[in-house]
Amino acid sequence: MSDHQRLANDPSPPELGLSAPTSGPDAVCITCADQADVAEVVEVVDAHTVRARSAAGLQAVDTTLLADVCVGDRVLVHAGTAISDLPASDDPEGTP
Amino acid sequence: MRFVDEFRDPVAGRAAIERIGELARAQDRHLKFMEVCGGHTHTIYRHGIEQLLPGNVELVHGPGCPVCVIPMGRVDDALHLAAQPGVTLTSFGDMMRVPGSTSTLLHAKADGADVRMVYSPLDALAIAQREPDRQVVFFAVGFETTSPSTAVTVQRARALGVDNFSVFSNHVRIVPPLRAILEAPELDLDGFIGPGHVSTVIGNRPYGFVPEEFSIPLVTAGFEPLDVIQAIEMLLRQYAEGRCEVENQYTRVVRDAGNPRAMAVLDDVFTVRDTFEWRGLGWIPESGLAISERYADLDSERRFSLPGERVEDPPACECGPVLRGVLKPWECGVFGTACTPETPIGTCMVSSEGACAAYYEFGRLQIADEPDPLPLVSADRARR
Repeated sequence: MSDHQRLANDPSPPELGLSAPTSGPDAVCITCADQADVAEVVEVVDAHTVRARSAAGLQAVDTTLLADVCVGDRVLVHAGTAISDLPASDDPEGTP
Repeated sequence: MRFVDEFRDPVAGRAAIERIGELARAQDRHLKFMEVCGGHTHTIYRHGIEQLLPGNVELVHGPGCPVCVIPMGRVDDALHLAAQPGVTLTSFGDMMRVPGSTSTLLHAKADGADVRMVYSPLDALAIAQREPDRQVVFFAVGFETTSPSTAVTVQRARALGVDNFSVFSNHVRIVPPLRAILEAPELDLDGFIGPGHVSTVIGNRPYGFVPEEFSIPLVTAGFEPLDVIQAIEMLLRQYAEGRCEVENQYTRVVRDAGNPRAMAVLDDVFTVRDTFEWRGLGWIPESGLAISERYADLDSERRFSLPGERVEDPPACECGPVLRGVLKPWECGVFGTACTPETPIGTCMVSSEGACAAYYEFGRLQIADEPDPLPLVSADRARR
């Protein structure tokens, strides 16, 4: 296992209840990699924080950059911050 | 899974590749497209897309890996900060392994410096709140995908009155290096696969100069294999139909206007530097972001004295030509020998988005005489 993977798999508890960047054989630092994850809002915690579920698990997400985020919304998360919202799952926009 | 499975559909992928073949055959010349974003580079190698394209369609890899473009001198500045008594230096994971002139943050940590990996700048702020006796510095890197998160954190630090937190900003902008690449004489490009997640923030409008001034099309694309394949098809279709414009393949996320809230936060917290050094690309005007005067008390560059020295890349490292797209990773003399993901010499081998790391991870596979019948998922299987 490389240092890179060891870092990505660091089991130490993340801040703010955030999940580790990723794990498994494709472990990368998703923040450095400019990646963003799709996550579904499962709880509105306060005016600028929600709890959201993505493929990596549950994480706290800052929503300062979005307006009116509700439970069930899908958001694009990068570095713990929602940078965009996504169309509803039955919206055909973007399907290849 | 919605937004994943349908973008990895082998049947749809094969159909798109066939259409690309037809469109490419109609173009009686070689076409060179640059994928700007390192995430696209990763997708292209991971899914073997390059091997599926017609012979006259070439992909070259651009400067859009945020880790790869940080010059060694800035890493040395971060190492200097980490060595100061009472300082906790925080950064994203890949930056821990980027070599400075003498060491890395990971080695500094092993030597006793208080260096911590964070997933979000908000994590760094939380550390500052929890440990008020430490000076917590966030080593900020990234394009407009990441800088809004840093900006939100700076605003939050001000609102909460956290005075033991500061940001060492190395954030960069995507448009100035695109212009620098287009103005360089060495690379004759025919199109761009535009960055996806940066464009969720800045939108598509800033790319208008690409077709208008340089007569080259640009298609903003997502990061799944079908996203990239479809973007290539859209570029070729523009040539077939005699069009040259900015198009958006990533419509499920990217809007033309981007995210106005995020842009407003960036304008509040950052100011554009007159110039900023990029590894491999040199000094590019108006390409970097510094903390604005309004938040000067949260700027590490003003709070601490930094060496600020420029450091040349190691002579053996050819990250520069790789980042400019004029050299393929495997054409570098130290690729895969002295320079590997375990012991990187250059930044392109550090981040998974770096062209060298992506090619090392997925592209060294022996290419069979016949293409894999399910190429969209083949690389992972073959790697095991």
